[in-house]
Amino acid sequence: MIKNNIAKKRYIIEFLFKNLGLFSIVSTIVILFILMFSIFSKGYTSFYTHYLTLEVPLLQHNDNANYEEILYGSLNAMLKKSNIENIDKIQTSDLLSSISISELQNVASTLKNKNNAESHKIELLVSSNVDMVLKHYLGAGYLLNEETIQAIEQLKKQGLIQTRFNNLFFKNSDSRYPELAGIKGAFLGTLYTISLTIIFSVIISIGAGIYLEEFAPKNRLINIIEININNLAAVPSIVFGLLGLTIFQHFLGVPRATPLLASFVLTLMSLPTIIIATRVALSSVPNSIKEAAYGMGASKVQVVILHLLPLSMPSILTGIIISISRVLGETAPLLMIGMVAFMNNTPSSILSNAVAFPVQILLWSDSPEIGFIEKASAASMLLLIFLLFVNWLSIYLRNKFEVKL
Amino acid sequence: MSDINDKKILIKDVNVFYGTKQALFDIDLHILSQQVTAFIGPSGCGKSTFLRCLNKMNDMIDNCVVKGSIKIDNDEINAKHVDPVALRMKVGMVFQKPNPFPKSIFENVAYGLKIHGLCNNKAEMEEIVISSLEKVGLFNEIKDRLHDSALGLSGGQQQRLCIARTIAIDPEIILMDEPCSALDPIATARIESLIEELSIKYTIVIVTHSMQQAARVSDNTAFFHMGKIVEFGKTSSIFSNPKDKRTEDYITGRIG
Ligand SMILES: Nc1ncnc2c1ncn2[C@@H]1O[C@H](COP(=O)(O)OP(=O)(O)OP(=O)(O)O)[C@@H](O)[C@H]1O
Ligand SMILES: [Mg+2]
Repeated sequence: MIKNNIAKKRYIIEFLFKNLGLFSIVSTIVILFILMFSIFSKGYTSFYTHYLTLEVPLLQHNDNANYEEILYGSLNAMLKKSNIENIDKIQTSDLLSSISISELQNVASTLKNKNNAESHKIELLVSSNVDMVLKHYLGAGYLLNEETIQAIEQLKKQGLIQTRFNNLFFKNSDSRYPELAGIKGAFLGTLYTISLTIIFSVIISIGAGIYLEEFAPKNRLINIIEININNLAAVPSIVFGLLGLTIFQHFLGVPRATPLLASFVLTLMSLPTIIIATRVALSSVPNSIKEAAYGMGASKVQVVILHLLPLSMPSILTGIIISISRVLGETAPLLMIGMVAFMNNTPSSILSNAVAFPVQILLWSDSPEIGFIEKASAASMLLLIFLLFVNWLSIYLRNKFEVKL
Repeated sequence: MSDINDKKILIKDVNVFYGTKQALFDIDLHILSQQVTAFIGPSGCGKSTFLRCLNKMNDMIDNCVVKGSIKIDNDEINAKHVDPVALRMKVGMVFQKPNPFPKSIFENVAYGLKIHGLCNNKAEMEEIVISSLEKVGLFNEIKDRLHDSALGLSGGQQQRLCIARTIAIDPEIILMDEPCSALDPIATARIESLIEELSIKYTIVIVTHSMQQAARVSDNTAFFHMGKIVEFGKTSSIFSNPKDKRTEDYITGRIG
């Protein structure tokens, strides 16, 4: 009887315990899913855009030609031809992207020597507002007047507006015009920054970890250093930005807003995590292996290189990847070192001005144009996908380097 | 070859401390060349600690301090300037728990040859690896899986592999800390006969908890008790005719 009661109690507790865990996992997954869904549903439209097919009459290169006139002339002609109503109320100057005139000029110059071209069909990128309307993006209904919106829908139905893959989003850097803005600059900025960060932080922190774990004498100074390394892991990232600003930029003169400066700051941020990971990994190598090696007359360096590093590599790699993926999404310290300016050039080296991916997201999501909001979501999407890839890589590497003991 | 009564290792006034705690008190002892010397005594009396003094493994432990004089072939080893790497090439060690590296059988035996750069070419290395494996009677058992992981061997095989790994670099002295305590009686018997064979060429020091084992394999026995050597002499006389009461009690199983 008593036994039964105890068993019953245990079953109930077990049941609650199990379902509590299940509930936590399910709710985490649901939240993650909602997050993913909201970002993806807002962002995926960035990967396509719209082009308007325009018939341009007698496109012959002429230094005196007024391309603006030609453009709007053919635009009006096209609208008339497609039986659009209320043409006078349509915001024709808002239909096409700001580069349309120079695009027209380009086409004309390539046609210079071909006199046979009487009229010519060319595809021109539509403006961001038109693009948003066609994508029925949230809030796009107020961007243009009703007549224009109707006209756009009609043109789309007639096949004069076409959907194309948005290669500009990958080819261009930031722009003042949402339809032209791309992520290449931010991507390269982050690529340079993160590559340098990985190089610096891996070398420094594995070295520090090995020294502290294997070579350091056990004295007070080392104790203080250890405590401080652990504390450093908890320092808010903006403080690292301040440090970078005062020490690296003002004191050492590293140029502002460059990947080099950013990588110094991010290296400082990622050091404690990797050092701690390295030390934990090294100390978890079985003592019997160290004893065997020392007993065979291996030197300290040989023990570290032949045994400790290979055996602890999976955990160290995990530490590195966790730390790097954390600093990959870091914005605050980069704002401190000036990586927050509008930058429409593509960085060509680690010493040119650049923005980083997360900062680009911040800049775009901060701007009033809906077109940029869409771009911000798309960039977040890419960042998330990249982080997922990095995490997968860490698991893959861990399994690959794992030595069975 | 040297005289049978040659003192290979001469230990004088050795005191060992772990921090403030003293583990060994005024140890005076000599280890005879090409003989097997057994250390016996109750658990925690300092046998392992003493054995580890002989190849400076205690240097690895942060708070361990060894004082006194330990001379191997008349060279003082218990001094700061002595290179532990050279010493450990001369004084090999086999541990209580078989501890092969997580590498292939071949790599395990070739390990010492590689890290010390003892071979000029692959053929020479292969030859030494095979002869070492033959000496421990392992070669025929595993000759077609030389390149498989050493962790796939049985405990007894692993321990013999560890011995092969040690003798591959041709030491003069082999220290063994309870080499059979993780093995079954058959594997133990194999190791014991191996120890006898090896003692023709090597000076062997073995820590053991088994009185029978000490009696079977050793020429000399030192009985440790609470960090001191109570009795040291020929194994036959210690077992048949112990001079100290504590030795007698331990041998007959009354303490320990
Ligand atoms: N790393 C260490 N730090 C502090 N004290 C230690 C350390 N290693 C051993 N000791 C202490 O030194 C004493 C001798 O230990 P040792 O390992 O030499 O005993 P032992 O004779 O080998 O025992 P066993 O037969 O159980 O292996 C013990 O009291 C032990 O607690
Ligand atoms: Mg012991």
